[in-house]
Amino acid sequence: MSSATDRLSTATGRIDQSLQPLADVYNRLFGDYFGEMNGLQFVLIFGTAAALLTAPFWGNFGLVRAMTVAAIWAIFAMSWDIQSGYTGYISFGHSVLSGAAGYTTAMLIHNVNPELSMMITIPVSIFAALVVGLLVALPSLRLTGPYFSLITFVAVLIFYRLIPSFSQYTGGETGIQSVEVFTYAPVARYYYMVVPMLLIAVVLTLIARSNIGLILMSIRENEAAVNAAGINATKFKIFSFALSSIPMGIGGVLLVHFSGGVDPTTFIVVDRSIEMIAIAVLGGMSSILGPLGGAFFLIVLRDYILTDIANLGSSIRWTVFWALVLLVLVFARDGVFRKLWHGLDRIGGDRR
Amino acid sequence: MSLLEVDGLTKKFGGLVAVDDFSFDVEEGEIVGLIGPNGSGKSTVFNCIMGLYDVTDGSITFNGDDITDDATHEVVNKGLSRVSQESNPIQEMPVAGNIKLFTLPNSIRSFYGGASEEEIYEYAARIDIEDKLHEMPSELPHADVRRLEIAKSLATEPELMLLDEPFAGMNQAEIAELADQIEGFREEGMTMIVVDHNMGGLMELVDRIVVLNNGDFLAEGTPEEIAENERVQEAYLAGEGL
Amino acid sequence: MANEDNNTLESDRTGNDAVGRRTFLGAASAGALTTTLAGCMGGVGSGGGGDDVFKIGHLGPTELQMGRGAERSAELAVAELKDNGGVQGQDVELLSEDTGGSPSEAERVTQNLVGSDNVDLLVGTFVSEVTQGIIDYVAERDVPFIITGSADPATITENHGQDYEQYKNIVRTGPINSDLQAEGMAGYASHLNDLHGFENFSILADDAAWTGSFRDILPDLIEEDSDLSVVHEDRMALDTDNFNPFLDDAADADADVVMRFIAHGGAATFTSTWAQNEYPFALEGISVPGMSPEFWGATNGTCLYETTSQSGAGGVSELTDKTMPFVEAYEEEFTGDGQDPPSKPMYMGFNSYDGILFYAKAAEEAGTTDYNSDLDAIVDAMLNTEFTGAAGEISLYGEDSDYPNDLKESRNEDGIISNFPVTQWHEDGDGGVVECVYPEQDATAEHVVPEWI
Repeated sequence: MSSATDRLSTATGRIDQSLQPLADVYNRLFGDYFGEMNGLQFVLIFGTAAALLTAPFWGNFGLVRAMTVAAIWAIFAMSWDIQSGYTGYISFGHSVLSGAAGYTTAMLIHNVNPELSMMITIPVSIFAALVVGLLVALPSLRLTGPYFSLITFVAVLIFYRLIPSFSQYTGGETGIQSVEVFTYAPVARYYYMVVPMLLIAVVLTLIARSNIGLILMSIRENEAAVNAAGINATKFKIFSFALSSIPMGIGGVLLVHFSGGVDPTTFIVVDRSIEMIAIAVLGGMSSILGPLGGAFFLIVLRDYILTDIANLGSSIRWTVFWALVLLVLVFARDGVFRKLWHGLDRIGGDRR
Repeated sequence: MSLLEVDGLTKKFGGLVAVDDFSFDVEEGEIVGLIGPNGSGKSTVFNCIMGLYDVTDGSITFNGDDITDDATHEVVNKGLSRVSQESNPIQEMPVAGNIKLFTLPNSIRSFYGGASEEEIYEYAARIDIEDKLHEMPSELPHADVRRLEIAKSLATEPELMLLDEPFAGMNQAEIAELADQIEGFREEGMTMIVVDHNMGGLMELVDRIVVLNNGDFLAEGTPEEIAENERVQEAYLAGEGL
Repeated sequence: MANEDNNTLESDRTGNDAVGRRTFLGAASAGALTTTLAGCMGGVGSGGGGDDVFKIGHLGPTELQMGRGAERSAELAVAELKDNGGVQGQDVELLSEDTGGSPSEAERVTQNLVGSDNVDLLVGTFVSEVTQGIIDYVAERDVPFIITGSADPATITENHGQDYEQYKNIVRTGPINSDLQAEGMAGYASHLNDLHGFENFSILADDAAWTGSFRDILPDLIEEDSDLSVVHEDRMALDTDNFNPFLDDAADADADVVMRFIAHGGAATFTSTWAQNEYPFALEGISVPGMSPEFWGATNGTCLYETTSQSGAGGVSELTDKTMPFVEAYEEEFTGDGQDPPSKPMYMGFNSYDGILFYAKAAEEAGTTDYNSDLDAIVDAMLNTEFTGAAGEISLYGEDSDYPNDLKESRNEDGIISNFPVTQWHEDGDGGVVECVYPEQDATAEHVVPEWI
């Protein structure tokens, strides 16, 4: 196996060397903020960004729609990652955050004033996600151990059950469908989702690669050491959840204006939370960009490749989705994109 | 006023009394040894001082400030630091990263603060691991892992350092070297409490020894006085020899 | 628009000529350029009438019996249209999509059907949430949409009732909406009183949105008949697996009839609990699983003498002169060894079949299928068309009524609603069959009460 990569390295090493000057420009300017890359990795990152930004020009309707949905899920997965992936306090109920934002928008439109401007509903909804995040985090993150995870799980179960109980305000199981979409035009709609997603990716990566990320990761590895370093681990745990709530709220707002409404199945049911975890784990926990890759990979697979191309029925597609996640958990626990990244490191030869 | 005053410290775990009405003081610039047989409560005293345990009764004062109920990170930020008995470096990061964590400020707004690379080098150099900065903890020999623990503690810029069994697992040469370095810290102005369960490494290092047995204060004195103290010898015979 | 090639369908994998789905071969052969969205940019806004094929998009939960029955029935309708020269001279093609009962999946397939496949007509949807999930998009795109499964009155009252212009392209040709079904059920209650002297009624409904009309207005409608009273009412959570408490309460209240409204898997348990414990009341109302021809086997025959309302009366009664030819055509093609259930069309099947043929007739009237330029002509034609379908007479309410664009109920000379028939399970040799027991004009057998009552 290693001789194969060695042989591959001679070819790819040369490619890497030719690209290295470009990568070094980036490394000089941004390396301190985002980490450094070799030539191959540079192409991966910027090539992907270029592909994402130009998708409507090379993709077809079904693919672009799948990528639009994937962008929203990328936001969810990245947000989950900065909190759960980095601190190791695994949240099983992240959908309560996006659900809070989505339901706030829909309930404002449905119960208060159907003419309410997005300039009002959007900030209020994101704020609602933050409030819910703090409500969940403040009591539970003071504890160490599995209690936080259990509490997040119970939170999403409760939220899901509350919906039918207040169906007059929440629309019950059928939900509320009177929210305006941003647009039905596929190209514009794609950019409405992808641009915020890329901005969130940049911000979260910046945070993750700063000292904040270092502290969060250290909490996961050795919380006692963090406290011994004079850093209040509980404060940072809560901060990570609050931090995560904000892009979750943004994602929730994007989702509600994508589908034109809310219902508990699309926004809240615990399955959605587990999918966020699955996507992040498949992509590579604790890397921000891994979950981004995981989202595009899995969603495009499920909503475009397996249906438009392979014509599989709904339940088979879900089976394939989860089977893949299982395979990754068993054979590539660090995540597909992390393996790819390290692979590019190896076949790119020495960086300097 | 002493730098550290432990007054009537009592710690119970349910029905078990681990530390019973224990008092001692540490003056600035001292190196105090805290000894006692296994199970005498030495680590418990440290854990109480560092805020890992809630104190059942008594008080702990540092620089005139009551730190009895402070959380660990607060205690550290006030100037105490502890080198644990077990090494627990963060395996995912190299030595430099491990040290860096201990220089970071306790602020969610600080993205790029903490020590510079030169400053980290300095901390490592004070304990002789500056050539291992880019190695991973799993690659280090045991003695260097212990040194890393000390470097981490130094990085918090403490006034008072608690060293919990610093010589454990070391051979004679390593012990002598470490004892010299500890003396060096004192010359730089550091006050220290060193815990050990035998006197071997402490004889030449410490100014004064306090002895704990079964959670109670047993004796206090110079190393020579304690070595000859019969009650201390009996307590240890029940466990092991001096 | 350049995207047409995407849908060459004659040779798709299922081997079924009438049904087309976007295939890999189709997409690949279209080539990268013709499938780029940029090429579609101008095309995304247009659609319908732009090519020579009349494309129908059918939406239903095709992994369930109800959806499969509807999909097959749609195929039969399309086959009939092709045999009769197509629609407005165009060839007819069916694209059937599985909604999976999920609003987000339904949105995905609907937007593909409209935005990528350029269908000229949408038919179907069974689950109310799905209907609700796609209706705004469909209204925005003006594609004619015939609802053939979900009966929620709110679909009409909260959309057409608020902004008719926006939603006028959407109609329902079956079943009659739940408010009207509730009225029909009250008429049936009086009929049971006439037949057997039953006076006390209990209403047990799934705790779900679709039973709203039966919980809210049926009790009052029943009690409008002064001989009748509603002695017990309750809701059952969707995950209920023990129905004894509910049945015990109904028995304690001295109910003669329990009208249960149930749509989920627990229905078989409900039925066997009732039969095995010999509860002293008749089992009536609506049971969606009970509509399946395979329900007898699923309950080991304990469903004997339970009834349910269903459009099409289970395909056993000659409701119109179209009914039996349709049922026979379905059985010939889709029933037999090795074929998946359902062995009869089920109610959405009847409605999808009728809905497609109804639209074809309306399109003839209007003289066009181009909804982009002539939507008003098409809508007017639909509102003015009277059509005899396999399930009954189809005629739609007008813009100014309580239920614009919705299927009108049929009434007999006594004013009782007659196009919501009731079927009952009877014995047939070793197995069971469904007989139509109401309304009397369509009945194939008499309503029987279990002997233990």
